[in-house]
Amino acid sequence: MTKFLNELRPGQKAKITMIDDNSQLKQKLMEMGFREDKEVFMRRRAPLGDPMEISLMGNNISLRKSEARFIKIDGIENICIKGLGDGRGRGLGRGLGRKGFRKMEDEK
Amino acid sequence: MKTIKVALLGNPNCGKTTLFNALTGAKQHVGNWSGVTVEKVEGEFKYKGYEFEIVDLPGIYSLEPNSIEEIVSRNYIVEEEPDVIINIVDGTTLERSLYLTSQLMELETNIFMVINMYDEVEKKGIKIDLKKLETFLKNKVTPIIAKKEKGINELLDAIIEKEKKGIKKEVNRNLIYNKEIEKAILKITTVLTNVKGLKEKYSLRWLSITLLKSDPKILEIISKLEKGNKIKSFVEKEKEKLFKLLGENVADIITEEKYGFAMGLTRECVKTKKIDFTKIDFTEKVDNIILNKWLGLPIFGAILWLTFTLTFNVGAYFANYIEKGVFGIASIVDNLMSAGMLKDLIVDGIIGGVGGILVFLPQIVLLFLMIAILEDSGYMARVAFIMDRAMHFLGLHGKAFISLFMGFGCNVPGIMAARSLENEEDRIVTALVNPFMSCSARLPVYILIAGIFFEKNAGNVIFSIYLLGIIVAILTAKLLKTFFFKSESVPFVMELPPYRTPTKKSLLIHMWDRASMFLKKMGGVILIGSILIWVLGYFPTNVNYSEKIKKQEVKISKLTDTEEKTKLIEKLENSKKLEKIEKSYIGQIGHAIEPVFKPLGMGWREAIALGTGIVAKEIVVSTISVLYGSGGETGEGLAKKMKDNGMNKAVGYALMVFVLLYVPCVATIAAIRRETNSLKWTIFSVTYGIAIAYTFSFIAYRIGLLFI
Repeated sequence: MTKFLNELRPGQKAKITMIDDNSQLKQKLMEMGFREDKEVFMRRRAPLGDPMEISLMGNNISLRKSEARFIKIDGIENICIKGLGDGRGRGLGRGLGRKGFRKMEDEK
Repeated sequence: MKTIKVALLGNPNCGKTTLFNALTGAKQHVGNWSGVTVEKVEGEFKYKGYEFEIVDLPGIYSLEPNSIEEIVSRNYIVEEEPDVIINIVDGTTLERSLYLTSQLMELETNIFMVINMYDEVEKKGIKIDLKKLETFLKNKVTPIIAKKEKGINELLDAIIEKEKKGIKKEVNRNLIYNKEIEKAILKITTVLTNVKGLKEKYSLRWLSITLLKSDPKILEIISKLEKGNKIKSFVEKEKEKLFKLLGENVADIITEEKYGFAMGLTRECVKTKKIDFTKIDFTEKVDNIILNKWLGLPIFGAILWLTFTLTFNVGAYFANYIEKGVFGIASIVDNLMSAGMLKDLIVDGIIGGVGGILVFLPQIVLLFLMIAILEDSGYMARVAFIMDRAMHFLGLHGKAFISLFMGFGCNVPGIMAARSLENEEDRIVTALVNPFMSCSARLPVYILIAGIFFEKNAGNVIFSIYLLGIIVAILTAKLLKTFFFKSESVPFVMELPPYRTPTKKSLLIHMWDRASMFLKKMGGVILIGSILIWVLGYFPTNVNYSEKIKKQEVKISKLTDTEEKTKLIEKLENSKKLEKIEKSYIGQIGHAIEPVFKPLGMGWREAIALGTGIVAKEIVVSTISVLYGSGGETGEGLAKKMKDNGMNKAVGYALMVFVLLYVPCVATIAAIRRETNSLKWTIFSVTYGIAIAYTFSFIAYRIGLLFI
């Protein structure tokens, strides 16, 4: 099943496969470095839940969920980083335990 | 002396302004690009016998005409033809920056690339092959560290060296497209060669490419030509042919290939270590705290509070001294000049007006110091990140929050703060909504009225007024976004730049810019407005006092007891003052529009007070007290007089609502005019404010009557 960038959880990385939009937004996203085959890493969501912060080519970029849902991704991987939560107060890798990880694997 | 015209262009957050400051120092002029609210910063400096004129173009990622900043930048490069373009790039994000560079190459400009933050580049272990880049760009590529002013002389030397050889349009054919597209470009170029005047002004290859991309701005230019339609249909045919051949939109392919070029060039010239997402640097560490789910908002709240306190409380401290100084000057003039109209004009009109402008200055300087710190350190982008969800509800950008919040202190710096928004429509909406944030000058009016009519409940009543202001602001933002700024919402996507220490130079320049802009561009308007209102309140001078006063005068002249005499004279002066303002032009206007205010339960006194309040809202208090004949006193006496004259809770509340919502003060109008750069929006703001004030005030009064 195709996944989109807005579905990525903090602490996960993935590869961009396509930008599924044809408007000004695509232009802007591409200018900012969202291109095919680039790796994105989801850092966090804003305290109010939206927008989100991702890492891309060494830059930290923030975008709204409504914008992220046009970016198709593939090959999701979990990365353990101290201090990052998944927006529900749980740290990825740390504090999640096996159960948490298994649950995330299942969701994938 | 030879002059070299330079344009500075680069992505946001690449240190463009730092370089600009390093080059020009304080010799800068801030203005607007004609017709839009985009800031234009120019400067000049001398180096080795050359005069450099430099324009700081807005920070952009691309020259596609999608945003006003991009249009302004491209127009400048195409129409003004600067001799040299300094293309500043952040060495750590070269691939992204090269997209803009590739667009510059097509414009046949002289690109002098500078790679900024070269120390960070080296620290991160990125290796850039400068020689190879130079052969591609055909000009020198200079590594610099703008913050430490390193590498700047090398850059200028390179430009001068080129100038000595003679600067001409640089034809760069290193960016080549798909064979079929190249064929079409060649064909269109041939057609364009025969059009008179085009060759001299534009790069034909660039024109052809933009025509293939159906660039609306370029199509406009072509349409105006004699053979415009012929050219357009020729291009259309070529585009159709290409679509059949390649099976994809030509514009998309051209864009893709430009990215491909940027990527290829990066691969050739840059060696980077693989990005390790698990590495946590300083910025990540700070963000883990500052953007934390639970701590993010409280920290933001604390920073906001600090900004507000520093601006308005510390600002008030300095404003106090300015006020004292102005008062001192006024009393000196008062003593030196003999009584008369000229003296009144100078003391009350001009010195009073200038004082009214100067008291804003400390606030503006301090607010912009804080904003400059927030911007330069990188926190402002985080503000947008934290507040975006709340502000997006209003159709505004997260950064608008700072501007609106500052409005509670004073609308003038609040509106000026709207400049930090990237999008023009957002700037205009934020500026127009700002006056509904109840500024601190309105508070004395609320305190007076609520104190008189609501006594113990005054606090709650005043709170409800503030709340009403916020509600009206929200409704207004929604209204403007639905009816006037319908365009598809601009993408929010933005960079969260690494934290950096702001430089002293940049902070000082920023503060100086704002302060001088306020004095130069707004001071005049505010002064004229203040004098105008003063004139309306002062003339006619030969007031025909009523019989009662005349009788009183006669009675006083007969008195011998000095103590009683002074008492009566004082009383007489007060009644005279009252009559004078009542019979002045503004008083006449007040009487004339009294019927208009009747439905709100207000009389001529309130009408006049609201009129004088346009100079500054706090004046409403003193006018009311004069007109009710309590001679500047605002305590029990005034309360009794107002109540005796038929004022009640309902009118009181309606009056507060009116003060909250109607025309902001002269200074605010000047600020709106300045920041929206449009007379139309300024007039809209004033009339809309009055209409809204009237409507809400009417509703408040009618509902209020039901409860009395």
